[in-house]
Amino acid sequence: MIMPLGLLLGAGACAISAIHTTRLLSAVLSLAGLSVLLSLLFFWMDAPVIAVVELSVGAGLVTVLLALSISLTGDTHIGHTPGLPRWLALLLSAMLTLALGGGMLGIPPVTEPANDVTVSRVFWEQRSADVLLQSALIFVALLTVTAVLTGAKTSYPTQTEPTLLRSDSEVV
Amino acid sequence: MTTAEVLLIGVLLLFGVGVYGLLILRHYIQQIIALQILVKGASLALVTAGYVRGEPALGQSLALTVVAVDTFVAAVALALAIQLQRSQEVSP
Repeated sequence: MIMPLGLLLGAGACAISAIHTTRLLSAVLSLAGLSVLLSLLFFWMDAPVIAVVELSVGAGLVTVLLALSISLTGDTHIGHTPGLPRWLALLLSAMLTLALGGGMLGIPPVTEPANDVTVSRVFWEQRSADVLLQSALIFVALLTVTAVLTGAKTSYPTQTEPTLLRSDSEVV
Repeated sequence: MTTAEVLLIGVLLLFGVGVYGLLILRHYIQQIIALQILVKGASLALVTAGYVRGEPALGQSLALTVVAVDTFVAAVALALAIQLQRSQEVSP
């Protein structure tokens, strides 16, 4: 009881720190700390597969991706001008959170847990269609990232075109 | 207070912070970070549901899908954010 409470309090503090900090790199490090605490919580909940994935992907890969994008765009100070008024954002987020909480309270407990079912069996046998779709999604995402990142080099040299046109008209 | 209720409060905390961040933040990368927090709340909800129902394998496999898809969503969103930043530097 003390262990999940402490981990969740730390995770909540990391999440609030990631939202309220004014430096992007600090926000990324707070997100990595949140992932580490969540993976510890998953491990405590007897869910070692998702704990390892959360630690390697959430605290590793996503942190590297975010740090790489910050290094490409620059670690700028973030202004505090909100997108929505804070009271409206608080009201909307509280409504959505209460709706989710109400939905989760309706989950009935099962008296006889199915201990013989493994994650790989569920993943590869019961949810094989999801795995296929997920694989297709991975390829689509890789193609999209490649297209977006290489498209920039070909789509922005349009500033030279007006000068070329102007020189052509002057020649004519 | 039971363990399931503590976990539920944690789910709601992460979900609420993520939604609030998505609504008030304006920087692209910070919005992606808020989306990551929201999705971490969702994956914790799935694992918690499996823990409460006594089906941890199903909850873990669903959370695994959520983490994988969310990673690629973050990759595409970061690529778009980099492109937007570059175009804003060039266009004015």
